[in-house]
Amino acid sequence: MALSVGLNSVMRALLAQQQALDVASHNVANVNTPGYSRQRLRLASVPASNPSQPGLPGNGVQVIGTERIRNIFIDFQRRGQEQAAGYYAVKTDSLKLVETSLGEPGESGLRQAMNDFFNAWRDVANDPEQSAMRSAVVQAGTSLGFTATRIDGQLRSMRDDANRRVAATVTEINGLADQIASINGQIISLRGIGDPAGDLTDRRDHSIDRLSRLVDVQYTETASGSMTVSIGGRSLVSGSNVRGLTTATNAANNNYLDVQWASDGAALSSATGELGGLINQRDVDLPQRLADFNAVVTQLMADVNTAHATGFARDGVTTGTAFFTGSDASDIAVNAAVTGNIDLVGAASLAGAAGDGSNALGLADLQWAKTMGGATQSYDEFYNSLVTSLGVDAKNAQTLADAQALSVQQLDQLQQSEAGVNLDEEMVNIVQFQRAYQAAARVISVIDDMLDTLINRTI
Amino acid sequence: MRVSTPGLSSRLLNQIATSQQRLQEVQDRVSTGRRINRPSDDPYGTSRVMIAKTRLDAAGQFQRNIQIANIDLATTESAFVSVNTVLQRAVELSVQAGNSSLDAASRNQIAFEIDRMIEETTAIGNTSQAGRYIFAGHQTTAPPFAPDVAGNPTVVNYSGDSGAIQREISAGERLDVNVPGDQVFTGVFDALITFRDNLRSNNVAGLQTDPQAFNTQIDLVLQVRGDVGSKMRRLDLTEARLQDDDLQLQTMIGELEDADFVDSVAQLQIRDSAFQAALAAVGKSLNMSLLDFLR
Repeated sequence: MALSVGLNSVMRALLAQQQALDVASHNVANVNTPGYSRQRLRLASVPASNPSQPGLPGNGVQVIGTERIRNIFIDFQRRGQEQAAGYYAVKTDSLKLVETSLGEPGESGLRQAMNDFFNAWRDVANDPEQSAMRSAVVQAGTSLGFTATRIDGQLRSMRDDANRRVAATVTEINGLADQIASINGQIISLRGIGDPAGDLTDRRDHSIDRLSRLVDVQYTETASGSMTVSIGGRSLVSGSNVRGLTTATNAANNNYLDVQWASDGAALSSATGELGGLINQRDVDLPQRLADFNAVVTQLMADVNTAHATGFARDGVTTGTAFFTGSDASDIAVNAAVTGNIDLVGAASLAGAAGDGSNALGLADLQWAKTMGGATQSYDEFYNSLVTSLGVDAKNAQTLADAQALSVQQLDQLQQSEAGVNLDEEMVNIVQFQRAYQAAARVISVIDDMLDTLINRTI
Repeated sequence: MRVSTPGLSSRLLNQIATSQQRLQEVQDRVSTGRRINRPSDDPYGTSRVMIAKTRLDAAGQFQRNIQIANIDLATTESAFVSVNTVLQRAVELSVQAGNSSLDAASRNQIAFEIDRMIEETTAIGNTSQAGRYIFAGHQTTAPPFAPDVAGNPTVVNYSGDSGAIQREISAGERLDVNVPGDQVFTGVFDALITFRDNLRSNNVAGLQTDPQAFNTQIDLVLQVRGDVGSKMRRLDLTEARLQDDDLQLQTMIGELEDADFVDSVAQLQIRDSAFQAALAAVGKSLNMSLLDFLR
């Protein structure tokens, strides 16, 4: 082997080890970067330049490229789990808030308020001649109204919140689509010149991870290295082009926002992911719970008003007064005429009968009357089944959300064990590359010595 | 399996978070003393607790109603005891007055006593309890009995009605707790006035029938008192049943809703230890690095 050739091969070795050190230090630097996949320098030996001449050594080492170490299959599975995790996380959060609003089985909910209200009528029946009990029943009615209005308002504002989050989610989806498209463009040009673009691919994967938590996405990688992302069969990102989403106010749905494709206004269909969860809460789940809650309140209001109107006020003459005013749980209140003049409380069934509390007793009996659910349930029974089904749903959603979060976490750990940087491993590599570099440098000084001997000592 | 550095820390973090969450759950249970804090903790248990709480509240109300009913009936009862006393005295006097040896002046003396007895009976008929005239039917705000002529009435008028005052003593079960005054007192007044007039007019034949008239009234009062007494016994029975219910419902609510304190505290200890162990593991694992051994 010619000495000059030896120098050349050693120089390649120096450069290769240096590059390997660079890759290791890149790994160390990104040890805590979310979504980062460790990289390796792929090295190969350079065969002898003249294969026809046997026995010659090879020409050292060459760099083939960097490779990104990651299990794509785990990513695929993880994203599938993320969609369900997002959906159930939204549902769980929402139902927990509903539970908090209802405040059952405590003493601050509708059950207690109804109970206090009917018991107050029994007190009126015990003492129809006096003001104290009339005043107490007006108080109990007022507090029943407040409780109903508070819960109704909280459930409504939860729908409004879900709507605001729909808008924010659409903005985030568009932002992620823009990111993916712009990274697609960079990856295509880098791959074109032979760069595997590992770091950009990591960033794109991270964006797709996030996107798949938000919405039901499908994706395929093309030969050029760009990622095509679609929702419900329509492409969101294709190469570096984005066909984004937009929102439009729907007057028929409480002025809430419909999610549409920006290009042609077609409705977006996404049943899962956080977006699917939010839309389900806003348009299906919460409205049903609101309707059930209102069914109890409106039925109670109507029954109490009908019974109260047949009663006679303290003067023994005035009759036909409504106890409650309002149309549903949002505005139920004790009739202002009654709060202004508690003598209007209609305790008596008969005219001119000061000691008659039988109408108050009749009102109290409404507590047991089966006027709900097709005359099969009392207010309490109907409300109980509402609370029970809420509890069952919240418990199930929580269980599913936990299970999904756990499987995402496990897949994450699986991917981490494949793609994550291990600092100890990198330290070993660094030492190894450093030693190789030192050895190569040593070879140079040996060749230098040999040349010195050859050039200066041979006279 | 290969371990990556961030993978190790995230796994350790997860372990800490899980331990902490489990510790938090049992801490909540111990500090609130409750097993069910929200419906999803136990949906069917929640429903049973709610039903039991409503029944418990209602049972409490019914017990208050029963106490009030008891006072109503006891007041009625004691009024009838007084009426009975008046009637017993009237029988004595009428037997005495019917004695043919008595002269008109003596009979006139008795008549004055009867006038006072009419006044006394009027006062009994106008008994009020907690501001309510109990013998007035529904007309509880005004005294129901008034003599037409004060001191020497020819009739005692009843201004009440026959309205029934009812108390709800258990779900859907009502009990009449009043006796409209005209049912008892009108007959008594009539008998007393007739007797007095017979005394004043010295109508010996009439006086012979008066003891029988008073005995008829005594029987009527006894009959009504018996009715009141049986109602009071019914109240006692219902109250005892409600108290039993109370105990059972409270036990049921306690079993469903309250945390088992001993178990919770034991769990707290176990989970606290698990948490400490997780922390110790993290402390050890995170500190291990090859860097400590490389020069």
